[in-house]
Amino acid sequence: MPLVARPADQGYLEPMQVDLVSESQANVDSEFNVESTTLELDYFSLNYAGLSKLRRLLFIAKHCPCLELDALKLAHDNVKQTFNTKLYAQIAIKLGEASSRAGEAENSQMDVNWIEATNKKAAVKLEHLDTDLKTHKANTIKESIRRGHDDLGDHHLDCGDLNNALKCYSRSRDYCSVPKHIINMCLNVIKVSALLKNWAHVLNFVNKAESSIELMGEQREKPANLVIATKLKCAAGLAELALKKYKSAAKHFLLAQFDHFEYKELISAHDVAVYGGLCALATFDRQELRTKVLSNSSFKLFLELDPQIRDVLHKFYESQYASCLKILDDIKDNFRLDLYLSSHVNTLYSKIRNRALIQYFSPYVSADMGKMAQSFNTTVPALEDELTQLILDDQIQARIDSHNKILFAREVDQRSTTFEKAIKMGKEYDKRAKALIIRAAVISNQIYVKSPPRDTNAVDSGSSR
Amino acid sequence: MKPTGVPVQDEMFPEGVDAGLMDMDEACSSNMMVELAASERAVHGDFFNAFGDLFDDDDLS
Amino acid sequence: MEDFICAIKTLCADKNNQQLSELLNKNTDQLLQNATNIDQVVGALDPEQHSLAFLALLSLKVTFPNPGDFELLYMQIQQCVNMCPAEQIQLLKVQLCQLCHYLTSQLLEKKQPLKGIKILAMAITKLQTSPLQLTSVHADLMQLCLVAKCFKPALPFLEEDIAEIIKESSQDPPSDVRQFLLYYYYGGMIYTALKNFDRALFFYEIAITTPASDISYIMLNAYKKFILVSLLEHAKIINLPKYTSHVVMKYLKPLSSPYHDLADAYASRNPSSVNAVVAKNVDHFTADTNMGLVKQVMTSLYKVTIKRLTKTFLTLSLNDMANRVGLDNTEEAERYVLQMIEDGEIYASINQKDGMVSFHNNPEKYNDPRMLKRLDDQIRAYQSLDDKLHSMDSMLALNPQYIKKTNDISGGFDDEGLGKMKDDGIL
Repeated sequence: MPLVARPADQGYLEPMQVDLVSESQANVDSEFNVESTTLELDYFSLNYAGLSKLRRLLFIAKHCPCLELDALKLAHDNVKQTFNTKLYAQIAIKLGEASSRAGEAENSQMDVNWIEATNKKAAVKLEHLDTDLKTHKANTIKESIRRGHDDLGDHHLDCGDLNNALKCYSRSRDYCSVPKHIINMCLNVIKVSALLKNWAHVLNFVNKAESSIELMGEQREKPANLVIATKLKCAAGLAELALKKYKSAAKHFLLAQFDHFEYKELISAHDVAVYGGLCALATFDRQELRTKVLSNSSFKLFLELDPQIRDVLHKFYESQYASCLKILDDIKDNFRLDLYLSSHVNTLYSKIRNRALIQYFSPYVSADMGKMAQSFNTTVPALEDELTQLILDDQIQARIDSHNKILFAREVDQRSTTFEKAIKMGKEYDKRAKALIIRAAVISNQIYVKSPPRDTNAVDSGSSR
Repeated sequence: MKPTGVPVQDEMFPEGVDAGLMDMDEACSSNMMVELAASERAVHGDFFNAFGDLFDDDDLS
Repeated sequence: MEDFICAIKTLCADKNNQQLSELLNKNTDQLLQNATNIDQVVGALDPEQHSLAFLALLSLKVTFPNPGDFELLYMQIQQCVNMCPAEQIQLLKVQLCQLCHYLTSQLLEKKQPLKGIKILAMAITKLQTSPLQLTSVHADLMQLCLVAKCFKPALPFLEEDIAEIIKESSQDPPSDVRQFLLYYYYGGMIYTALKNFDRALFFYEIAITTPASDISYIMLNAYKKFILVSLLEHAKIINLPKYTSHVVMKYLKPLSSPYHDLADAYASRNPSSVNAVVAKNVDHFTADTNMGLVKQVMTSLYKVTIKRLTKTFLTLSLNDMANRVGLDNTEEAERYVLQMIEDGEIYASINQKDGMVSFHNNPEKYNDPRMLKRLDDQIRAYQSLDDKLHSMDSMLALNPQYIKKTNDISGGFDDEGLGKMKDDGIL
């Protein structure tokens, strides 16, 4: 029986993606060094807590030789307040190397006794918590079991065992009885997932937590819950930043409430200002910049913590691009030492610069490229290259008179463009329809590529039944 | 102390905690495998294609 | 023998095809056992009057290991195709197709492809009841035209939009696939040689999207050329429709990796990385006899870059242009620009004095009667195409087998087929 053709095969509306997506710029600069920075480590370390703080310090130590020793010393002191003996050992080794390089021999010894004692203590505590949990389970007291899991999770986290921490935290889910518990569980999972850099999970659990907050009714306005709401915004912002969704990241950070900010284990208020400000600059248009950033009373308070970012935003809005870009250049190195921002600095900077170029030209019919180059601290040929790319990307509707070095706005002939588009669509329709007619004939004639069965007993397949 | 690095698996993270991180770059399995499979299941190996290079513009003149 | 010939003539005159066929079948073992005997009978017949017998006997003769003098056979086939009336040929399509395949292979062997073109063209016309029908002889004709490098006679056939396929035989579906794929592959090659890249891509696409569960080398070659021509026409690999078989992605793509590497390099718009890929794979491309197309791809990169410049610049010096495009010097840049102006690919002028190129907009304003007429004609053509699709759709909806199949599905369980049909408004 001939296979009946289905014109249902109209998949041509969404052609299959056969294009190769070239992903070339992977880890372009995981190896770099920052020579000078205005970072003050003591103040810096006050803003963070827990493993996140240690990681930030280690990142700085790795990429900034002049702060290496101090950062390692701080990390060393901090890690000794935890059960994380593995990380301690790593830090101690690094500190030893750095110290001997600096000619300071005194703190190069690894405290083996401490490691042993701490491991013992940790094991005892683990056993203790395990027994507790078993007792709770035997008594089937839901709330105690939930806490037992959380306590175990806390302990694993303190030991630096993220996977087991995540396991325990998420197990407490089955014993949650009120939205508050669910939110607590989500915050724990978010905390660990962020440390594991599993950003998809972070976003997922932010959503879960937010919908639980919705269920709390009037209690939402309680200060404790406002703190949680801001935590969630910041976690989501951080995840979106890591996933290179800069606009979405900016939007989340901009919703953080300064008066209810308290998230040392992940991010500082100063970070909110920097991450939010840079992402907004890179992705917002002028209008959004005014309504969502500059007139945002809560975000203003964040910005007060970093007057330079505040100035950058204002100068950008006031079209003072030369000084805006100058400040950005000055503070770039600090950003490159930031664990979460570092790998995005170059992308964000070039986006910001492009926005500035676009915005600069937007009111003009023509612009002198010499003056424009001056405003952007660059040369005319370099500017020409930048503009070429922007024009090709359809970000600036203009053409360059390279002879006279003038940029002219392009007057788009809507009528002709429409005609061109229509003709193109017509052609495409013609092609798809004709292909479909042939396909119908192919299917009803059972035209099908199949190698003959090697097995002689095999029944010839390929028919419709 | 409990051993670390044991993959976590439970109902919440059926694919394990780092499923979202895994780089699914299985793109083209090794070429040799493909060619092996190709020789197994290929037809029309004998079709006439000996036209020479018909598209060399330099040859036309 | 005389009686036999007489009997044939009488049966032909009476149009008693049943008995004629029996008579011929009965005598295959004795009277018709060698070519000489057949020649004797055929010589006594008139292809116009006794066409069925004429055709049947020739198709028998070409199955012999020794069919005798080729010149004679050639003349017999020519006579048969030219003089047998189309209605008679319609009755023995399979036999005529066999004759044509045989003729094609013999002429290829004897390196006389030109001699077959007219005959095959005539044979196709007589096999068809409508020019929209595809026969298995189409591929033969394209093959001869390609070998002879004589493309004109192929065009009237290639330009028709196929809507039906005449099956050569019911027992042998594999040969249908083969001839189908060959037609679209060879057709694509002819259009490629004529630099009608758009149409060539369409032909290659039909070959590539043919349903498949295994690999066809014809498809593989079509895929490789598809990539190259796609680069030439669109500067990137264009998308294939969703219904493309998974075989393409699973096997054809990895088997064509040098071509994909070339496309990746091309996307970087950097001539030296394109050159590097070509240098690395030159043996592969040469073995595929695609080096000529690859060379065209290499030159086209400069043109693509120049075209992009016209979008960006109003004026640009030849010197800057050579730098941006990656050409060696201003003379070369000038040569490209002049060539492209001449071919209507860009609108520009060069100021000889200062070596400055000025780019202009497309002068086409879509407002003169000639253009509007052309658009109107096109719209009408699309409308009739649309009508055709609709009528195919309703025909299908009335097809008993189709109704049975869809009913079976809805009676049984709700699988995705039904949902899909519902979405498409068929149910």
